[in-house]
Amino acid sequence: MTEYLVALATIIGIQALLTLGLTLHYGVTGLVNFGHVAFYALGAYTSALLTLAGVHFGVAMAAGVVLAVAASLLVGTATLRLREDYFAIVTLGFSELLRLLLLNARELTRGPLGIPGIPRPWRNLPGVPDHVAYLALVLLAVLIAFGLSEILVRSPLGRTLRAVRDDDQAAMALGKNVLAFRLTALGWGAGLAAVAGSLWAHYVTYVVPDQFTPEITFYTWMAMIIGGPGSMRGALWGTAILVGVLEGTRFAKEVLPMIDAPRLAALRQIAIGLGLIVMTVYVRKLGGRTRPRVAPASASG
Amino acid sequence: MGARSRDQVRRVEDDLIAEFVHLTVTGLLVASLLALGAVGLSLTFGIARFANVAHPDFMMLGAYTTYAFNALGGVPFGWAALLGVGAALLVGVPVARLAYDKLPVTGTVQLLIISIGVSFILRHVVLFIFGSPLLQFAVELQRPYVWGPVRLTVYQIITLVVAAVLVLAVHLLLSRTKLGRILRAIADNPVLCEIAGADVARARLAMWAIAIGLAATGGILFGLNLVIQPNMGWDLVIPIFSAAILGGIGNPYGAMAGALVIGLTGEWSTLIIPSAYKEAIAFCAMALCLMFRPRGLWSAA
Amino acid sequence: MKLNRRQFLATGLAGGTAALVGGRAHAQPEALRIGVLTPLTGGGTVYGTTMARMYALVADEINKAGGVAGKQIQLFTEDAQTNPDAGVRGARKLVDVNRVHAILGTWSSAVTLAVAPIAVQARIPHFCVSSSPVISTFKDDDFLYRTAYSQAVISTVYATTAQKLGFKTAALLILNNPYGIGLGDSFPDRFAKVGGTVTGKVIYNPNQSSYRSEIQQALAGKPDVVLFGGYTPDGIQVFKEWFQLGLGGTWMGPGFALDQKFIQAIGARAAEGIVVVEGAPNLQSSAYKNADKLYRAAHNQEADFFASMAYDHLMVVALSVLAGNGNTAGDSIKANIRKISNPPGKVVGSWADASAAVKAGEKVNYEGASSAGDFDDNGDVQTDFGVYRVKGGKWALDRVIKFGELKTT
Repeated sequence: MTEYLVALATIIGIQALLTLGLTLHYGVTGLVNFGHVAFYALGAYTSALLTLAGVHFGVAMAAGVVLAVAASLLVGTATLRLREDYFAIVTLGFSELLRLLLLNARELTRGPLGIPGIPRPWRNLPGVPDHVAYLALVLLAVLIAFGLSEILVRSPLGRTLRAVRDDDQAAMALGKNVLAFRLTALGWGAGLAAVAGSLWAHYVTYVVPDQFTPEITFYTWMAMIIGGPGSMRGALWGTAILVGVLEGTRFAKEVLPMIDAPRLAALRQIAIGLGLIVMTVYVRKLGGRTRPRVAPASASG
Repeated sequence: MGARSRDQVRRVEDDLIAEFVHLTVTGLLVASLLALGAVGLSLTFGIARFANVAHPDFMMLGAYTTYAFNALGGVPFGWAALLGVGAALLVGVPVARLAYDKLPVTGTVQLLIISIGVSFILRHVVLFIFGSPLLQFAVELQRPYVWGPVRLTVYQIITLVVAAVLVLAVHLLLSRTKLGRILRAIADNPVLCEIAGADVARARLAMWAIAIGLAATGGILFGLNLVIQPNMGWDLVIPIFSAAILGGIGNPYGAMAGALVIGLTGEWSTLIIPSAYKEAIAFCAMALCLMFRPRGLWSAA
Repeated sequence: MKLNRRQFLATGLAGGTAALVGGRAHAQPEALRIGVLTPLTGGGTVYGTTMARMYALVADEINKAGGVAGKQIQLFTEDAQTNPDAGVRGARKLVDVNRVHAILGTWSSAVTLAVAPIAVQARIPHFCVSSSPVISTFKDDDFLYRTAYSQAVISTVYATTAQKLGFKTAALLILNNPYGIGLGDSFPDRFAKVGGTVTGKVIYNPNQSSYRSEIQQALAGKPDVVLFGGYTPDGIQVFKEWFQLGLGGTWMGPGFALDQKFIQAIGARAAEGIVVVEGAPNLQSSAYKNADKLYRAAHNQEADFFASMAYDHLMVVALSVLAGNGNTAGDSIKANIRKISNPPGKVVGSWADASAAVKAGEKVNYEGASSAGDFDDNGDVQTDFGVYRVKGGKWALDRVIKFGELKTT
C-alpha cells in the first residue's frame, strides 16, 4: 500500500510538471497549446538516449530541455500568429507528427520497439528505498518548477504576459513585442514538459512512441481546468485531483461487481468524459477568475 | 539511360503513369470520405466558432446506427443507411445542442474541451453497447470494374458520387436558400444577425442537423469501404481538421478542396517517400498552407 | 470559492481513501491473487476483451472445483488501455495494492516492456502475448513468459513454409509496430537462407483511410507470395481492399490474424487459398477443446488464439502453485513453471485432469490451448507449426513443420 501511494505521488509529481507548463502557456499567456505531449516526448527521448550513451542524467535532462525549448520556439515562430483554435489544431498535429517521426526514425529511436533499460538515477542510496529516493527527486523538481513559475508570474514579465493574454492589441499598442513574449512563455512551459518527460522516462525505464499520444495533452488540460487555469497552486491541486480520480475509478469495480471488466473499462472512460465537461462548466461558474478573454475570431472580416 | 533500350524506358514510363493514375483514384476515394466530415466541420467551425473535436465521432455514430439496422435488424443496406442517418440525427443533434448550445459556456477553448469530453463519451458508449469486435455491414464484397489502371467497385463509385452530390447540395443550400443566407450571416456576425431578428437558435439547429447528417453519411461510406469500430472517427480527427482548415473555415467548397489536397498529396507522396509517413503529409500540407495563407487556401486574402 | 474547492478536495480524498481501504479489505489472505492487465479500451480492445473474459472463465472453473490447493483464485482486472503509461499505473495498483501473485495478459510489446520491470522488481511471474524479439533478451530474472511466438522464430517458419510450398519470391506488407517491424527485420534474412528473394517491404500504419496504395506497392514486384504481418482489424481492411482491387496474388499470414472471424468478415470467396501459419497441436489439444467449450458456453463464440493464450496463462500459473503445494511466492511459481509445462510427463490440458495428476504425484506436461506450452530458457514457448490453406471458408491442414526442423534450417 505505501508503495502504491509512493507511486501515485511520483505520478502526480511528474504530471504536475506538465500541468505547470501548460498553465504558463494557457493560464498565464493564453496560448491554446494542444501539442504539449510533443515537448514531453522530446524530453523523454533525449534523456533516455543520452543516458544510455553514457551521459550523466542531469546533463541528459538538460539537453532534453534545450531541445524541447528549441522545438517550441520553432513551432511558435511559425504558428503563433494564427487564430487560437487554429493554433490548437496545428500544435496537436505537430505532436502527432513528432510521434510519427519517433515511430519511423528507427536508426535513432528504435521505432516501435522502444528503448528499454533506461537507468534510474538515485538508486541504491544507503537507507532509502529506490522508489522513495526517486519520489524525492521528482518532488524536488516540482518544488523548483513551482517556485520558478511563481516568481515568473509575479515578475514584471508575468504581468506583461497576462496583459498579452487579456488584450494583445493593447499590449502591442504599448510597444510590447507580443510575439517575443508569447515565445518566452511557450519556451518556459515546453522546458517544464521536457523535465517531466525525462523524469517519466527514467521512472518507467522504458520509452516508446505509444506513450506519447494526444491523450497526455488532454489529461494535462483536464488537470489545469480542474485546478482553475492561471493559478500555479491550482495546477498542483488539479493534478492531484485528476490522478486521484483516474486512479480512484479503478476501485469502482469493487462497488459495481455485476458489470464485466470490458464494459466497466468503457464506463470508466465515459465517466472521465463527463467529468471533463462538468469540470469545464464548473470552473467557469467559479466566476471565471483569470479565465482568458475569449477572442471572437480575430481573423473574421 | 544510354544502356537501356527505348522499349524499357517506355515500359517504366507506362508503369509510372499507371501507378500515378491508381494513386489518384485512391486519393479521390480518401478525399470523398474525408470531405463529408470536413464540410460539416467547416460549417460548424464557421458558425459555432469552435473546433468540435467530436465531429468525426458523429461519422462513427452513423456507421453504428446503420449497422444496427442493416446487420442486426436485417434491413437492406440502402434503406438501413437512410434509417441510420436518421437515427444518427436523432441521437447526435440533441447531444450537440445540449453540449455546445445549452451549457452555460461560451469560450472557444471551453467548448473545444467540452467537445473532447463528448468524444470520449460517444466512443465509449458505443464500445459499451456494441462491444469491441470489428463490425461489417451485411454486404457482399465486390469485384472491381477495370478501366486500364483504374479499378473501382460499385460501392466505391457510389462513394464518389454521394460525396460529390452532397457537397454540391450543401453549396446550393448555402447559396440559394433563405436558411443558407442566415447561416452565412451568422458566420459573418452573430450579434448583428440576432439584432436583425433572425432566428439564430433555429439556424443553429439546422446547422447541427446538416453537419451531423453529412458526417453520418461519411461514416457509413467509410464503414462500407473499410470496417466499423468505435475509434474510427477519432482516428480521422487530424486529416479532417487539416482538410477543413486548408479549405478555410466556413467554406464548404474549400473543405472539399482541402479534402482533395489531403487525399491526393497523401497518396502521391508514396511515390517518393515510404508510405508510413503518409499521415504526416496531411499535417505538413496544412502547416505549410497556414504559414503562407493563414485563413486557408481559398480565402479572400 | 476557495472553500468550495477545499471541500471538493476533501470529499475526493475521503472517497479515494475509503475506496483504497475497501480494496484492501476485500483481499483475503487465503486466495491466489491474479492480476489481469489486458487492453479493454484503445487499439487492442478486440483481443484484450476476449482474454479478460477467458481469465474469468478459467478462474471460475478452477474455483468451482475447489480452487488451487484449497486457495480460491481471485482476479483483479485492470485496463491497460493499449497504452504503456496506463499499463504501468495499472500494474502498480495490482502489485502494490492487490499484492497479486502474478500479472497476466499484457498484449502489446510496448505495454509488456513497460510493465516487465515492475513485475521483476516485485519478483512475480508476468505472462504476456507480445511477440517482439526484444522480450526474449529482456533481463527479466526469468519472471517474464510469453505464449506468443517471437518474430525471430516465426520468420523462420514462414521462410520454411514458403520454400516448401514452392514460393521463390515474397513481398512483405507489415504493420508499423514491434511485431510487424520484427517480422520485417528477420524474415528477409531467413528467406534468403532457403534461397528466396524478397521483392519489397511495405510498412503501413494502423487505422488508415485506405490501404490501396500499400497493396499495390506490395504486389508491384509480382511476388509469388505476400507475407501479411498485422492483426485481424487491419487484416480485414487490407484484404477487403485487396479483393476489391482484383489484382490477384497469394497471401500468407499468422493464424491469430487470419482466423475464423477474419474469414467471416471478408467472406470465403476472398479468403480462398490464403496460407495460414499457426502453432500446430493446439486445435486438437484437450486444453483447446476445453477452452473453446468454456468460451462458447459463456459468450457463444469460438475461443480465438488470444483467448487460448489466456487459458494457458492461468492454467500454467495455477498448476505451478499446485505443484508447489499452494506456495504462491513468485520464486516458487517460477521454479515450477517448466516442471509442469515441459516434457516429459503425463500430457494434460484441463484443470480436472491436471490437478488430479499433480495431486497423485505424477509429473505432468501441460499441453496448452494456444501451443504445446513448453517454455525455453528465455521464457518463450516452443511448438510445432501447422501450415493451413483456406478452402471454402475453413482452414485445411496442408502440412506440419516440426520445431526441431526449424533449428537446423
